[in-house]
Amino acid sequence: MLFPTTDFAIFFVLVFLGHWLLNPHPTRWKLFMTAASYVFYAWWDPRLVWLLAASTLISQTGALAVARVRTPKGRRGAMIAAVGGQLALLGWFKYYGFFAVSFDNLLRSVGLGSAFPLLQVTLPVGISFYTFMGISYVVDVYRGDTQPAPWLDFFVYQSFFPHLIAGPIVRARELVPQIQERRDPRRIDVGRAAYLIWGGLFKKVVLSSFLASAIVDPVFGAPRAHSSLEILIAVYAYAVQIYADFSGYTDIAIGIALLLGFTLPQNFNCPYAATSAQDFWRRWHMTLSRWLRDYLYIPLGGSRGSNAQTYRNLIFTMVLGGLWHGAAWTFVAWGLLHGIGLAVGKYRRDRRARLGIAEPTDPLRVGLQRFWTFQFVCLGWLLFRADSIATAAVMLWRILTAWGPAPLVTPLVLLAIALGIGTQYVPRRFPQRVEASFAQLTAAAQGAALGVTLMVITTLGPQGVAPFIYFRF
Amino acid sequence: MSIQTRPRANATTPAGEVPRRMAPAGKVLATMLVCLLVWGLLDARSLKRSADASPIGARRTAALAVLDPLYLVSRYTGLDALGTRGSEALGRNPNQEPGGSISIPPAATGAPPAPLQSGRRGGHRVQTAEGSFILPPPVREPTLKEPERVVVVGDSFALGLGLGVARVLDTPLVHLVQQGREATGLARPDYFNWLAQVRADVQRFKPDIIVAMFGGNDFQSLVVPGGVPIPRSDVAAWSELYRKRVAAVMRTATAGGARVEWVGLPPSRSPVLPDAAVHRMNDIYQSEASLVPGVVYLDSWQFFARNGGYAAYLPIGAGGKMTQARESDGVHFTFAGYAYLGRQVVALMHSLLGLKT
Repeated sequence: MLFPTTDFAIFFVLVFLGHWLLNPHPTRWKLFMTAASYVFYAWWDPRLVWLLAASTLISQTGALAVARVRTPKGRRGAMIAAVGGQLALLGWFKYYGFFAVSFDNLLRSVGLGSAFPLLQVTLPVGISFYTFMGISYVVDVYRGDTQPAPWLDFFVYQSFFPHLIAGPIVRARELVPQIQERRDPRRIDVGRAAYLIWGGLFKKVVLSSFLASAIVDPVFGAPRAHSSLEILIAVYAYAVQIYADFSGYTDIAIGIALLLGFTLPQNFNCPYAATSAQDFWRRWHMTLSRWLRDYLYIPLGGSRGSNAQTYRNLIFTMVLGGLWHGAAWTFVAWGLLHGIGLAVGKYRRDRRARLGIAEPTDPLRVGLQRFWTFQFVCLGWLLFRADSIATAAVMLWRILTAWGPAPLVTPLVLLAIALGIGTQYVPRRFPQRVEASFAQLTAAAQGAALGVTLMVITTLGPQGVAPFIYFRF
Repeated sequence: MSIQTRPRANATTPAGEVPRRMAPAGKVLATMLVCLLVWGLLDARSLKRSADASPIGARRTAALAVLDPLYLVSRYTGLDALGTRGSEALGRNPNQEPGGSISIPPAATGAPPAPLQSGRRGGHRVQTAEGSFILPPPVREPTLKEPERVVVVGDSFALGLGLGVARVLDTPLVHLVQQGREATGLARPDYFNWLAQVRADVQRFKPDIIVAMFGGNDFQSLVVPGGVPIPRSDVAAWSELYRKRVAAVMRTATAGGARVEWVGLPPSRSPVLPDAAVHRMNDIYQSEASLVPGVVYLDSWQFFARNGGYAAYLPIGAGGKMTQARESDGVHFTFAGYAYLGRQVVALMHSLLGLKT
């Protein structure tokens, strides 16, 4: 079930009612919330429910084993087995096809036959997110950062529907304590929740969809048919599209959780106002960044070794972070680019510190840093969105050489891009005032305002769009 | 008995932050219900339209049971007109183009293609592996000022195929118009009338060539406006009516002088599009293409079948590398698959339809 659908609107009203009615009864509430989350997941494909349950069982069994085994070797073995189990599931569903076909082509190139059957494995929705949550839980228990949660609490944590499909990647120590305490039904931050949900809907349904159909899909689909300006603007448009799409979805998730009395961690913080690659990763998909830092970069050695080892760790972490997004060489290249960007940034910061040069603070220098960081990020998005490295190279070449008319660069496209980037520079107090004013309205006025806004959003968004064609008719 | 709750997270407002006002759950529930009611009344027409378009069954019946009275209230109170005018002001006609976007491609300039002659006098019959077709004279010589005009129509297959064709025809001597519509087909003219849409496309874009790919959503009951739906299990009646619809689209598409390349369906691994259904529809496309002057049929099955059926990976990459050609839904193509199909489509345009570019 996707958030921006009528199905979800009806589902959520029912869950909201059940959630607050059962709030005084913890066990019944946990059973209800687990069942609701599994229904939410099964809406996509009922067969995948077993996968979610299996992932939960592996994590919880592993965490309990880690907590109960006395010897360090045994604890380490239990942790590795649980993490390995999680990675095996992820590897099979997400990467088998990529590696099987790559290996097959390698063998064919030297005249040998196929090594693996080329099976088409359906990618279960949300698997990357709940796998990473499961891994963080087991590792945190192993490190002593958290205690194993009771079975039912862990089922709620792992399957909690607001974060299940696309994050944020929540840690057990952030969510399990909230599951274990009763929520106060008199204190719902309705202003903040409405702002996040409706803002997220606008970003996802209107801004992202419009830019995709108006310029991004046509240009990335046939770059040789488009001029320099069209390709350049399409890359900027994709930067806004992916931000609007992903941050919109997680904003809705955080807003929905707020209506249920839960606080999920922030996932985006004006990423296109970043002044460096490092700053960008503190603002973009923040829960993935900290996951990569805590469970990959630091175990690799982090910045504890020599400079060369630190650069290697940064690049390796980001390449794996790229592969997390999908099994394709374009994602590897995207991760490599960001890894190099982070390594170069670290080198420059160290050099400044060595020479005693302060970080620039004047607005012009900071503005230039933001500009060049955005160009760097957009270069990465070009690699990320292109269907192959060769297509990305063609697009880069044509940006420099294919001068000509640009009919796809319309005022509306430029306005949408400006809106997507410009809103990242709006001071935080502005939305806070909107939220506070909204919260003061009566329920009827709030409902009417949200209903009208919803109508505008659904009208501006694409009509008749569905993930599966068969279910539409 | 008082409820034990965790401490108020927002009891104190940090410096510089606007104070937050909390609401009780009952008020939030009331807000949500009012919101859904207002939205439902304002948007009743399009919500009802979406429900109408959903598969015939209990879910559709339940949705319409709620939306029919809501729509009546909406019309009676005039809120429906408010919603419709709002849609129109925002660039949409709420009664048309359910799969469209608010960006409309520019109309074509220049003269339309020379009209096809009726019968066989205007062209010549050729025999290919896919059948026997009556071909018109080749399309005109394109110039930068008057490029060849190619329009791609159909369901979501056509949306992807349009990108695949664009990848091959990446030249300013071809003006390619993508008119594919997600979640449409020839089975439900009550939801989206492709015959009317093709007629409008012919008038608007004056295409030299139309590429058509339908059928992804068509293996279902054929809705007859004002009549009883014909179930797909009634093979004879279903095929007869579907054949008439295909022929009507072909004749409408060629009426303005355009040549038509009709692309058949590939094998699928989805239970809602079984091989028998694909063969049934492909047979209709192929036989009708052989009867309507100016229409050729491209059998996509031959390019995507392995061992007589569906295959996800095919040697379609550079140098014959195995590449994933089909999406994990078992129906659609990946971009590599669409690009490969696009190459076959353009090759046929060159060999049979006289495309110059």
